[in-house]
Amino acid sequence: MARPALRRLPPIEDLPTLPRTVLRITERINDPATSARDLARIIAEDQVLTARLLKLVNSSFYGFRRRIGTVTEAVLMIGFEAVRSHLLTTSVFDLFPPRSPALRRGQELLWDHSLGCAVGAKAIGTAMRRDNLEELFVAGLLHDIGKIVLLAKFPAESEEVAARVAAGAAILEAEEAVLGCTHAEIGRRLAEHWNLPSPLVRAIESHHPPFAAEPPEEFSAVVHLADILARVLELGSGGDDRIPPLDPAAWRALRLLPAAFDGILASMLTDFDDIGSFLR
Amino acid sequence: MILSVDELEPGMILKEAVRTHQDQLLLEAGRRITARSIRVFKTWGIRRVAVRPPGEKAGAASSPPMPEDEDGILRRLKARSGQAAEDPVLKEILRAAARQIRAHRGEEGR
Repeated sequence: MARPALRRLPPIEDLPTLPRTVLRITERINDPATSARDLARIIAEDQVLTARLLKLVNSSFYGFRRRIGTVTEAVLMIGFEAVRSHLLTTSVFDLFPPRSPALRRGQELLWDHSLGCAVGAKAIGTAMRRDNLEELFVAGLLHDIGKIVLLAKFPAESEEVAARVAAGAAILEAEEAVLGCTHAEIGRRLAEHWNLPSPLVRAIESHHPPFAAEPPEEFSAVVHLADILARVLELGSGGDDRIPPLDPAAWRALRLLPAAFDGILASMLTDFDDIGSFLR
Repeated sequence: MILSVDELEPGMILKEAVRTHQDQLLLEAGRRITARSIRVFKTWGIRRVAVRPPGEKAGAASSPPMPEDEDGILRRLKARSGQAAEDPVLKEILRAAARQIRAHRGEEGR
């Protein structure tokens, strides 16, 4: 077998950076003293983010009766967490412009898969009556960010990994053999670099069994189930089209009943279409 | 044939992929246009779209398989799950998914 493409993780300078405004917003939202006006002031400095936010709050997705004209009003109407998750979502999509038509197709499918997981994690959180739905959405969206980096930098090796997984190999082992590191490790490093909250970092690091903790942390368990549901519904592609087994410990940790599946899957299909039309 | 977005009707099949001005993919070639996709095209300011002439079948290579009923969808999902499909919880997931995919497609076609 050929030597792994990477001997160690790529240096942090080689990883993409989020726009400075989005990093500042993420930091400020972590600070309980931040007001809607503080947040609006930071967003308003960036014309692109301002335009995106206003377009979003005035869209049919929210369906407010009157036009929202200012950023402060937008922040108040949809909430801090929703602002962060939407700005993060749109900015992360911009970070990886496709370099070639062949790559573009794979990237689009992977993004669609990530978006599928994001709406899945939110729908699962709703069924569990959680109130951190936006954070769950972002966890689903970014869980495979390491795969996106690997696909952009090592397309041939990523294909080889997908082929091994399709043939039944466990993804982390296949990546270790072909690339010398895993998408989970690269994802964790990126998430730390972007100052994301620690439950999110841990979910990105550990969303495939065997999980880092036993029983798995709630975010890891939610993202694991969301990943399976997004694959079942064929929302994009995670690289291979296999539907992986549901980890019994993760399933127990969620304390859900199978009767919840119809509702979760139905809202995933609707939300995926609605949100996808903004991002694409 | 090239049609303006106003002339599109649900059920027509795309001859070429539809992309935004920024070159982001909205819908692949070979896919069936739905009422929702027409709304998305309008939102993105798409003006003209290439569709297959009526009567021409969707090419097998470019269009994804469209199973008619719930059972067909379920069979395909089970095949993709392999051994995992024996798990009682995953079985429930696949059954619910087949129901919801079917219902969602029905809604889109309207």
